[in-house]
Amino acid sequence: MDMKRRDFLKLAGVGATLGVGGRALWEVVRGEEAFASSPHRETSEGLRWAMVVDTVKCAEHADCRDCIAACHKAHNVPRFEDPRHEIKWIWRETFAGAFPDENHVFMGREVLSRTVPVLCNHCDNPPCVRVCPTGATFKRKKDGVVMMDMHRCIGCRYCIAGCPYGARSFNWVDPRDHLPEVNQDYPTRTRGVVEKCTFCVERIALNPANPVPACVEACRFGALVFGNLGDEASPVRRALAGRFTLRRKPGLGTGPSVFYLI
Amino acid sequence: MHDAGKVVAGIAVFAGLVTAPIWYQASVGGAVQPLDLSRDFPVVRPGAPGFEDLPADLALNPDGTPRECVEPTEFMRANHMAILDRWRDQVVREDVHDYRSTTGKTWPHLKLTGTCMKCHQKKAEFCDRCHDRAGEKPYCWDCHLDRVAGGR
Repeated sequence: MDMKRRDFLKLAGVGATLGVGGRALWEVVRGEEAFASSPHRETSEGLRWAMVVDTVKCAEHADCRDCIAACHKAHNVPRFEDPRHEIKWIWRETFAGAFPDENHVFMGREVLSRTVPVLCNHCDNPPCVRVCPTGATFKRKKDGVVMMDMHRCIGCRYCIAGCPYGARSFNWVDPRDHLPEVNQDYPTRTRGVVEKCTFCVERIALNPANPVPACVEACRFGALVFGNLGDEASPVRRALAGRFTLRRKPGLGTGPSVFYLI
Repeated sequence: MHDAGKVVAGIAVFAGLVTAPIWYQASVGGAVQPLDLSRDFPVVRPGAPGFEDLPADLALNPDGTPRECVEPTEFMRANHMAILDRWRDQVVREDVHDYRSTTGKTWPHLKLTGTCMKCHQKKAEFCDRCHDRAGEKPYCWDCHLDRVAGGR
């Protein structure tokens, strides 16, 4: 083949450019947004499980821990004295801790003093799923639940670094030795895996039409509401329609599925 | 050959070390006994060993018929690991909780503890005996519980 060195380098340069930027160029040509820069968009259609927390009702019973106790009992979540080993699926957080961008020193004392239950937000655009190298954590396409497959978790803790809500816990020690009581109907975890709230997928499987998570069932004051975000008649959509709500750290673009009535 | 004596002696020592497990087994226990699989009661039927130990509601279906395994015994012996591997992906990742067996029957709500261990209650006899013999160390039980709710 008769090609000058100079021409070969030009051709190689063009080839490399197309290889690196070809997909983005093709998407621009086709009128789509380039994949790397497209912002995440939430839709209000389709099945998507969500929870609404009434912070007013919760604040009226600041000492209540029924939802936490019910969840941790149902899912064999261990209890540790040492806070470094703590495992939590749902817990109470201060208002400023839950909403670091939505508080200021002049805010009413009553609002600032509220502690709110926080849990995995089952984000529409979950960063934990994006960083998981094994696919152990994934978002279910059919209903938006962010799930953990313990069989595939290698304990790298990228998801803990990726989650902006601290919703994930790592099992530093064998959790079996630290269970106050064992629920025989649910597995435990083992040392070296990450765990978090699953929106009670085991209950969703048994009652897919109208599931009630353990925490919602345990709440005596109706402060927790669960339902389909894609259905305008669902309890969550009716709760959202009537009052002002916050989501945690909305600026990050994660699209949480847990809402807080203020 | 130089140092023939040392070389031959070295080869003899090497061969002895490599075959040590065989010598050891021959010297202590003789031939390896086959496992008595009649004791593992794959399906807990009336009259099977261990049946008397089971609570009545676990040994029999609500209509009084003996409990039936999801697949025939021979199939389960050969394929239980493949079935369980498929089940866990199916249940956790695909949210499919039913199993259609080779006999055409559909079993709902698959669970390792709730489905398998409901009948096969003695893990030490049912799982561990073969696994120990085969040097298998499945990590199922690191998380899954070997006792079903309401069991012994």
